[in-house]
Amino acid sequence: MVRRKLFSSFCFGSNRGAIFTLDSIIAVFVVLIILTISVFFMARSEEPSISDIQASRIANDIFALLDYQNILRNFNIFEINTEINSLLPKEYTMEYKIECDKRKYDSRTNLTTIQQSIFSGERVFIDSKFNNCVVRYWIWTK
Amino acid sequence: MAKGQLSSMDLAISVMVFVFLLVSIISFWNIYVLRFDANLNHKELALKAVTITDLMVENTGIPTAWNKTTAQVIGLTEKDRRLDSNKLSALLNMSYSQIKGYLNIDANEFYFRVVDMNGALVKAQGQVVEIGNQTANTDFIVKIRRFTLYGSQKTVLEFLLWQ
Repeated sequence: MVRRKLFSSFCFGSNRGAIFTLDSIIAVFVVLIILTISVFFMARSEEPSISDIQASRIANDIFALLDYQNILRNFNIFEINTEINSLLPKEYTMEYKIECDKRKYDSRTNLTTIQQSIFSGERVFIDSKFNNCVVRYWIWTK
Repeated sequence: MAKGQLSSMDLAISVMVFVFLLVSIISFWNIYVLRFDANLNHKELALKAVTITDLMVENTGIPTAWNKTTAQVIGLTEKDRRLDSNKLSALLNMSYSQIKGYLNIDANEFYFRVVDMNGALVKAQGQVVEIGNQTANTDFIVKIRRFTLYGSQKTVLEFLLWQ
């Protein structure tokens, strides 16, 4: 009889508010733990993929080759584009911008419309007139 | 309905809901942990392969003029991205397990080759530049292609790595 009275007062009596508060605190605590773990796993899974890692290396390699073949230094855009088209794998798109003293070329259209991750880099070289030049490039998967 | 009956029914329903949720969460958790592990392993393998190709095409190695007996670090170029035929030849004269040891990939298998832009294997001092067997018996494989110069010829260094 006494036990039933105690139970009744615990569940339906004056302590009811305290139980619900405790219950909600535990629930919020559990939700926060789950959220934290989910965010951690999502952050880890958003590390760059293999094609993303490849993209930056491919662009870097292409401009290194153009530099060593003295194609960049001649500032012959047609030749540069031909070489890029022959080397760049079909699954990638690349845009670039070259700045040499007074000569400039920019192949970019509008990078803001690209939905995929864009990787960029730059290479410094000296042109045939001994000007310091910079080529900046942006590459992404199609 | 009596208060005791109501509490029992409430308890039964809550236990059922709780067990159902617990089983669902544990199942989903296991599936996602497996997927996550597989994804992470693949990325680690990819990163390892990229680092190895970086080492091969952007470095001369240690010592600079290394050979089969003096090699400490394997780099295959005379200068950045320009392959050195002596180093390619030295690499070809090493055993498969010796190369794995230098690249610190004892737990993995690899396939390495250098081809021209038409896909034909190039030769270094009369030897075809190809090491390993590319018939990997796994879906878990990473392939890295790097553009290089071999003399005046444009070439592609291909490196496959798997577990």
